[in-house]
Amino acid sequence: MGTPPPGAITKLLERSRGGHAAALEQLVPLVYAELRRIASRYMRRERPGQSLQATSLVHEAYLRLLEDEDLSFQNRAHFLGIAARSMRQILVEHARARDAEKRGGDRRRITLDDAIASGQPLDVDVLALNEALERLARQDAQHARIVELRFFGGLTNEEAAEALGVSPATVKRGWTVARAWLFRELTR
Amino acid sequence: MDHRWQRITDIFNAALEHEPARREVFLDAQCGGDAALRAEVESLLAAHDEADGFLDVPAAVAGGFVPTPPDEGGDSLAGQVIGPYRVERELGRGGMGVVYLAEDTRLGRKVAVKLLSSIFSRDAVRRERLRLEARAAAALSHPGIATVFSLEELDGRLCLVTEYVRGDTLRSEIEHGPLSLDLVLETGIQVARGLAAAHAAGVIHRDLKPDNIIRSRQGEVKILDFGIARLETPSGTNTPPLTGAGAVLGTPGYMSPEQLDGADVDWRSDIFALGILLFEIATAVHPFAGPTPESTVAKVFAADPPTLTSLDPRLPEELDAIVRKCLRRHRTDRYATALDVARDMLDLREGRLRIPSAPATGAASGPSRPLWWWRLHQATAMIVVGALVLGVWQVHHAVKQDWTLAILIAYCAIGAINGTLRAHLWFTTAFNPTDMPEQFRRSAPLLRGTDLVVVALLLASAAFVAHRDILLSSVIAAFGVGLAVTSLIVEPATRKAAFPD
Repeated sequence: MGTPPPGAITKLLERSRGGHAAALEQLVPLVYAELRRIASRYMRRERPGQSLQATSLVHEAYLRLLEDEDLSFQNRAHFLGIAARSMRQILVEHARARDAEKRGGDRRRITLDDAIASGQPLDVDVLALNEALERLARQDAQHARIVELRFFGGLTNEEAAEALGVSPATVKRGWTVARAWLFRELTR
Repeated sequence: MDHRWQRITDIFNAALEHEPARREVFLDAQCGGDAALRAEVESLLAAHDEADGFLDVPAAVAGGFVPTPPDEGGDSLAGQVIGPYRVERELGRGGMGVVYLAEDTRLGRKVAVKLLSSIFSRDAVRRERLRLEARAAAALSHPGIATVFSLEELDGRLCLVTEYVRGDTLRSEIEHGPLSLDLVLETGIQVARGLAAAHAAGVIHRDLKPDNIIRSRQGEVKILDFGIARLETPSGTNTPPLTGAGAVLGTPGYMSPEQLDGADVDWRSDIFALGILLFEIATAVHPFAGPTPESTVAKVFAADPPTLTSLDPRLPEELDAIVRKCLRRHRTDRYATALDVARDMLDLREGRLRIPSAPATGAASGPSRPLWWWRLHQATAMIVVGALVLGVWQVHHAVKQDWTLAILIAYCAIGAINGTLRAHLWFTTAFNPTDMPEQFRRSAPLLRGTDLVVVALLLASAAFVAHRDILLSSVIAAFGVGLAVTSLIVEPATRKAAFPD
């Protein structure tokens, strides 16, 4: 998938924010693809540009996809939110792939770059966390979203607040609760 | 969103704003009789307390998709296993190496592992230093000191394993501003007691500062990093110093004058550092701060620190006195032991303290002696002038002339002015000492003038009554002359001594 024409992403963002399902459908794969591209580049130890010291894939994807475009705050936040969800998907897939490897026999066909599949295991059981997060989403959608943004997306309190349209204080409180709740669920 | 869930989260977040000790009471109030609700909140709170570091690192970083943020030299061990310890994350970097939070997989407890960077491990002198630190600190067991568990060699590196204290350093606390007076005293008492325990065991810290003191979540204050301790052998002789010629250990800004001189250091250097520490947590300002390290050092040697009250008038004078006594340039003038500092702060907290315990050399801790003499002089002058009203009245009563009436009235008026001026100056020395030069300049001529007029009136009175009552006359005349002498000779002398402008 090649890079989209300049200005396209902004248009897509604006329209998906406006509720356009089709725009979102176009946007998500773009973001997803870019994130995977970046991740695999890291895994192959190719440093994508000296100036980039991104500690978050999401931020790097943001910079790459939008280097020519100047996003408004809301659009940026929206982008980051989408990217966070994509990150979650990627990591869950990754975990499932590793699981499948471990179990050996049951080799389901999952298309992933080899590079991503060779990444290190996380401390947290991502699959269990993912399930717990789905349960949390049924209780409190916003709290689950906060976890997704912060943990999977690597966003800061302020960025998550932008993405959700609430105050950073709300995000902080939600994060505290959600974290405790998830920890309890995972250690039952 | 579920109404009940909303309640649970609200109470949970509110409960976290209370200290752990007060949560019970708070929960009682909030949950009422709803046991299920309370159980739910409590289990969440428990999970919160345990979940140290959970989800703190974003997934992409922890999963190795992105390299960890670049660190200045030294490879980060986060996520790796070293010996029986599984490293979770970096806690900080000091002069001697990096400190990590790790889990002892054998015992299942969290510890702090200080790793010497490989350069240090190879350096025999530094290895020896670390070994001494461990021995020294391992001999200490006190709630105010972070316990040393072991000194091990793992994967070719020397590691010091100590108690992990969950909490904020005093440094990070004062970044938000000074601590409340209560907290300053509480912290100071705990630190002083910890120091006292170490000193009693012959261990000197030598690098005490807000960066290596942590307040745990339970409110316990612990001193970390007895990093350059020196163990005094039982025979009283010190082990040879491990510094090279001319090298100075410690952090500039917290080192006592004798440390900076490179002289032999003892426990009183820690007391000096304690004084600086107290100053900083009470005001969030360093007493000797200068634009460069050199100027800071110069100030430690030469300048007196500002008073606490000049930075915050609400702080009690007694605290200032305690801090100053810790910061005396000559260590013999400081507190003899850390326990004495703790005791004075405890007394201050309980409202029992007036003046800190007398220093070894016996220098006055109240107003300086010359000032005391000056005040005595002022008081005496006021009393005498006041008392002599009776004398002058007596004269008028005896002689009953217009002149003597005039003298009486004039004396009262001038005497009142004179007394008021002296009282004003006294007030200024007590509450506005920096204003003294100005006040003197303004009032000196009038004071001298009224002095002399008073004397003249007294002598005049004496003259009027001389033929009637020689005794009264003599007494008044004598006092008059006395006042003249003090005004012209004694007063300038006491003034010069007390206010050497």
